[in-house]
Amino acid sequence: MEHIETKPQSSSFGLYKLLLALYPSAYVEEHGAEMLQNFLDLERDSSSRFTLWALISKDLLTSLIYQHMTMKSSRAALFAFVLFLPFLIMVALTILHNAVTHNSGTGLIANFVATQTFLAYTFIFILPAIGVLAVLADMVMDLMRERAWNPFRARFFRDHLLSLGMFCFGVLILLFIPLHDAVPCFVHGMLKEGFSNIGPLIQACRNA
Amino acid sequence: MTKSPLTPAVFHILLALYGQERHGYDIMRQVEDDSQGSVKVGPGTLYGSIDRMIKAGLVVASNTQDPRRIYYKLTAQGKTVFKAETERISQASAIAKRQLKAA
Repeated sequence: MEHIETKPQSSSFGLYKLLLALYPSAYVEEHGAEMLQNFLDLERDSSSRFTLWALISKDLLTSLIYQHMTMKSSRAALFAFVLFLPFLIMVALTILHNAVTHNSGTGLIANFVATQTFLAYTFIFILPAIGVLAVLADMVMDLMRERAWNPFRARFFRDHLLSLGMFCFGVLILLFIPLHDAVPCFVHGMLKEGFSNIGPLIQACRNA
Repeated sequence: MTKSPLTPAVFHILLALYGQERHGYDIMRQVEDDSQGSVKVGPGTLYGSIDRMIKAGLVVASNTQDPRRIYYKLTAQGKTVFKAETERISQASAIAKRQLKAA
């Protein structure tokens, strides 16, 4: 599997080659060459680029999710996602409540959670924080196990795509408390006044 | 994989490999032809399914005739599972036809 029919390489082929880097490294090492060959064959036989990419997009989406979900390194990411679920359900219910009641302010669910200190801390801070720490610990342990001291290596990135995604998502959730009022305030102020009063704007929004 | 009904992709890969070893792209084309276009597998899905089928003992990589490609073929267990699944589908189809006629 070393030779690939690569006469004139199209931009589609180049893009597909890049996208293959999103798969776990072991999968690409085993099947990458064949997948590229199959892509060339598909490209040659496809009636149009649209039909080619319609098939490839669906294939990439489903197989990427599957390949990453079945990796051992994804267990912590899935565990974290379960811990994020109460927060996500609360946000979804709040949005739904606001949409149904046309209430532009805080929804009933969010109001209820916000007034129950224990619930609020658990849903919005403790559970997501445990999730973030679990993913982080798992990645650090993998780094130590693989003796790969550089987490920015392409292979580590590829094999921990789901964990990295979940880590970033968890951090965003944790930033929600301090920033959920400050960010809209800042964006609104920037749109209204531009850069002219950025100092006072930051001060004002910090206390929003 | 062998106890429960097979997924359409796995069933059609077994069908494509029944009696003939094929390489990846050949399997993709054959699956599309056999299913009259209703099942289309891309490269990512194909090799994911083949990996699972190899683990389940249904398929093996064959000796390569072509240096650019890997050929796959059914094992004896793969043939047995394919026949059993075909039988199961035939029986279910017969029952469904009877029910449709009775209704």
